[in-house]
Amino acid sequence: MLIEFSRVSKRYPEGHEALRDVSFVIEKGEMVFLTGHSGAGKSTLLRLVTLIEHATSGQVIVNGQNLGRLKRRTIPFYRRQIGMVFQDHKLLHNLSVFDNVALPLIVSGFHPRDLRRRVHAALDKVGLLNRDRAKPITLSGGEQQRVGIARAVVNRPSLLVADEPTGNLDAGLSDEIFDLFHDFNYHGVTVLVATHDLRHIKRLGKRSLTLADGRMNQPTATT
Amino acid sequence: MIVWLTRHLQTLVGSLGDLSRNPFSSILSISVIAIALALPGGMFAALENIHKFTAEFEHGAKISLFLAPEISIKQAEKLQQSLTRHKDIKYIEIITPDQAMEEFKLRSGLKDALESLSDNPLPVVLLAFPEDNVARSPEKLAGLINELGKLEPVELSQFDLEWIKRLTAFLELATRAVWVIAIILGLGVFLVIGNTIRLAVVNRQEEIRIIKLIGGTDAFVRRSFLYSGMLQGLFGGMLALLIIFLLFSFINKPASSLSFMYGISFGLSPLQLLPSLVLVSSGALLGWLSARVTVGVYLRQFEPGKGQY
Repeated sequence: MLIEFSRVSKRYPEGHEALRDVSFVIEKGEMVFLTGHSGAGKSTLLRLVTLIEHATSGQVIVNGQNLGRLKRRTIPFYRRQIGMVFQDHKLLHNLSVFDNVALPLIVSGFHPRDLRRRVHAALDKVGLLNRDRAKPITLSGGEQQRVGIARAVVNRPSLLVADEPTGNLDAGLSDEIFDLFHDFNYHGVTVLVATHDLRHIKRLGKRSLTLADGRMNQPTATT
Repeated sequence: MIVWLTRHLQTLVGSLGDLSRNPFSSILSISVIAIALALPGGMFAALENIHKFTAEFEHGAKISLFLAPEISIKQAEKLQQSLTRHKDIKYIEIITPDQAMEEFKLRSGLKDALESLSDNPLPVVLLAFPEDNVARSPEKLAGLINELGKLEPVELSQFDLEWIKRLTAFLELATRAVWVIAIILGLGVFLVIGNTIRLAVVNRQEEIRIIKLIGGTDAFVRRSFLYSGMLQGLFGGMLALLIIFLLFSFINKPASSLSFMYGISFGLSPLQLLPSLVLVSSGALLGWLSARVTVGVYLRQFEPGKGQY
């Protein structure tokens, strides 16, 4: 399995208990939706997977690594195995589309010779190869999100994590985005997507995990 | 190795770009750094010059013997011969009143006034050059001056180096003072650079968080700030050097005519190559260190988990 939560709770310093006793398993190569109302703990769960936060109690194991035992200075190397997509894209607006997508490669010391090819392949995948010199601000919301996805996959991560990736997009654009995720999953990437848009779960027919008030209901299988 | 090198070059060029993107604030902080470095640098250069100036004097340590007015040149030459045999004296030079007058006219700038005098009021002067071992020992020198002063035809025996000794002692004090100033201003440079780096870090906290999210290490984030601190210090040091050179060329002329009045040819020289390199590189080093400390303090505050992420 790729991700294993066992009896995980997360309480923020202000006292808010975002996750209570959550346990589940995601197998390698699976695509799983994480659903629930806003405030149910979806974001917190993803923040534990990406080590933006640490669990208060319980164990999180990703790719065989117990996240509670990772040393601070090894966290960057852990994060390089994960592609992250955010609702607000988190692009750097002073850099071009190309540089934004190249950033994970530059950060991990990728050889400059192969960099261009890898970035172009990622941009091609999301259909933005012809916009590589544009600044993100000149792109539409859907295009910006696709740049964010290209950046998330350019490192060829084994796990793709997305937090409400279509929160600001209309139905047609969000279909495109979810089709992209589906395609990556088809090519072997494990995908975990938090969304409250149940339409896609039905459409793509994948397993979903539902959070309510920090607790996880019995995992439900969909058609 | 090539990857490492390209990465560093990219960062260096990137930091240069950052500096040129905010030309006003960059020039401002670089100027402040330059002035803070130019002050102690210029003071050290000035002290170095004064040292050189006094060394010129010590080299020709001599005792002037002003003879009584009624002593003729012939009598003076006799005295010269007898004193040349003195064990503490290397040799004796004689300056006739005419020679003295010529030299005086040349150096004092009172040529016209002196030419209006009907006769030459200057006495014959003997210049006694002591043996080196005597010149180096203040007691022996004092003994010799005293002894020569008691000679019948000598009216006044004067050693010109007394003030130099005092000056040397003063210079030692001044050097210490300049060190203190250098340290204080160095600290100032450290803080100035630290502040600009702090502002840059705060301005780029969004960028820092994103880079950390996609797997950037602290070292990666730190690198561009280190370069930018180092470059600021480097440019500040270079500008400081320029300021010192301009300052020295501005006062060189009066300084050399002043030294001419003291009978030595002496041109001001600004910092030599080695001290110049030390000045510029200490600027760069201060910048690097300051950036290192500042970024170290702020980096942990911009973890992805803290703040809005």
